[in-house]
Amino acid sequence: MNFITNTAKSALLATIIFWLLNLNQITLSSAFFFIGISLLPIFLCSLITISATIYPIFVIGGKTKLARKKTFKRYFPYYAMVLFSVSIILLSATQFDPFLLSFLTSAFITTSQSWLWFSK
Amino acid sequence: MKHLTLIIAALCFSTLFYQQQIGLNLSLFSIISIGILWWHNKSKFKNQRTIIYATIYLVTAVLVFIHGSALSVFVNLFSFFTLVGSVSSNKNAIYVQWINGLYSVIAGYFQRRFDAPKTTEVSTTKKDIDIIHWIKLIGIPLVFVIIFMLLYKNGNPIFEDLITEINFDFINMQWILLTVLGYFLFNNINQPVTVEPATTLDSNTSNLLIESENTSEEKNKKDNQLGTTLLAFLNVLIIFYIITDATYLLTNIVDTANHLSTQVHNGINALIASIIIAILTILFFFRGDLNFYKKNKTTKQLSYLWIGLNIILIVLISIKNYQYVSAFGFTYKRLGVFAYLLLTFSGLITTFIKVFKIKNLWYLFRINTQVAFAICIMSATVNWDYSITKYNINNAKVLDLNYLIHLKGNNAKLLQTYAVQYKLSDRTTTRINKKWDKHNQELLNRDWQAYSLENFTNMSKSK
Repeated sequence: MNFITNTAKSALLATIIFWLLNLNQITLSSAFFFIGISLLPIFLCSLITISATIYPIFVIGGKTKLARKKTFKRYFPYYAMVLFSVSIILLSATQFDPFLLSFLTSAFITTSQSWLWFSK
Repeated sequence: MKHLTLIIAALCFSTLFYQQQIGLNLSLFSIISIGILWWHNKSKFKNQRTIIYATIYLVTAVLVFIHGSALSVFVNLFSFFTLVGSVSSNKNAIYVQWINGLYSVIAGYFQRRFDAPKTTEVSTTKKDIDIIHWIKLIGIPLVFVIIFMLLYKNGNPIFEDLITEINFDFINMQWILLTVLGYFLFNNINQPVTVEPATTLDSNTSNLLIESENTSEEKNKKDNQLGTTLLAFLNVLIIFYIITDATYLLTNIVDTANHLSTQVHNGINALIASIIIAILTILFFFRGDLNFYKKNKTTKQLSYLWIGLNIILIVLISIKNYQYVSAFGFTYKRLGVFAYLLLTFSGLITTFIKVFKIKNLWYLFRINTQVAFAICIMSATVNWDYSITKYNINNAKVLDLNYLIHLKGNNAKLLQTYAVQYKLSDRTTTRINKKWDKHNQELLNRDWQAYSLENFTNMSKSK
């Protein structure tokens, strides 16, 4: 899967997860407005995160299917564990701030899925 | 059936943890986790090591219920990772099992999706298409209905009123999301995964050192000479230090807390540097072929001597810390010094075994992480707040009541008895009574999920 498609799909997934976690914050009539307006910052966040932390690893690892699989197997576990640990530290420091919790949850699931999309 | 058990477990998870503190819920979660792991990995539970880890996890779960201390929760969490890691691969070092356990808990689902063989993909394609079809069937009409509802509501005031009255507040989204999280967690652990190539690498690495094929007699001779000279000088130096330290300990009477504190902490700093350098130096010299060099006897004996002298250093620091404790009572910091000394002692013994039995660096990592884990579990069996208070009240020559009042609430009853017995000042008695009331109130406010043993013992006493 190419970089742009992956980022677009990741941004969409992140938006869905983020707003699912914040469903109580919005009303039915304002849902489309908020979800629509949040797409741009979420897309930018996804673009920056994927281009800075995931895509370079796959570029260095090689572009063949076998190389991509090897890259996932070798680096994803450590990526997931580091991301999880950093998230837990941030959440503890902010006493589990609800906004940060939803942001990090969507970031964790989205980046993990993005790794899978890149590897397949 | 698999999904049904996971859904039931997820529902239990949200019932146990939704808006609750840690207590009985973590103990019950441990039992459910063991159940889920056993149900989906019955063959793995025939392994003795896995059974031991499951028992340890169960014991720590009971400890969480009994003490509810941060240490017992921490140990319970690590036991959980150890057990999950052991189910994923039980022939590895404990730190590899922690890594495997943590990875399985947080991302097992993604790894399994990656690992899914092609045949499975083909067989499940039909299922996947069905799911996508169902998502389309529900999702697309839903989006269109919402859009048209929003459009129509501007055209008719009665319809607008009806739409405005639609309220989803009855849905507890956070509870649902916690259930989803529980499902994700149990789904992750039901088939634990391994981190590769770390797991395979660890499985294939033995504890024994192997002599290299192109060993150089000349190089070994030079290393041996350097080792003998350096270790001889270091032994002389440490002997001199120990003699002066022992003399100081025997001839000086120390009576102030600051004096003792400076002594113990200076000693600890010296010990930290000494032990780390000692272990690193020994590891450097015995990293390779010097172990197999025929004339290495002197270097080995000097290493043993140095390890022995470092152990004497530990004993001296223990005496100082004991003096400190017997005069001014226990604190967490002073207990930490004893824990550190115990770990250092184990580090030295294992370094001795490494040199004596020609083991490699992995042996040291493996055995020392196991020892550290065992010490943590043993430490978690003690209710430290209560024990510190009891010891200090009965034995300390100078009692720091401020420190004891600031400890966790489960020492409140002891402090109250002490206040009545020794007729303390009104201010102190009020502070102790406030602590007791606050603690009891906190116990009363708990839901059953956050219960600890104290809810049954302390409350019945206060009645």
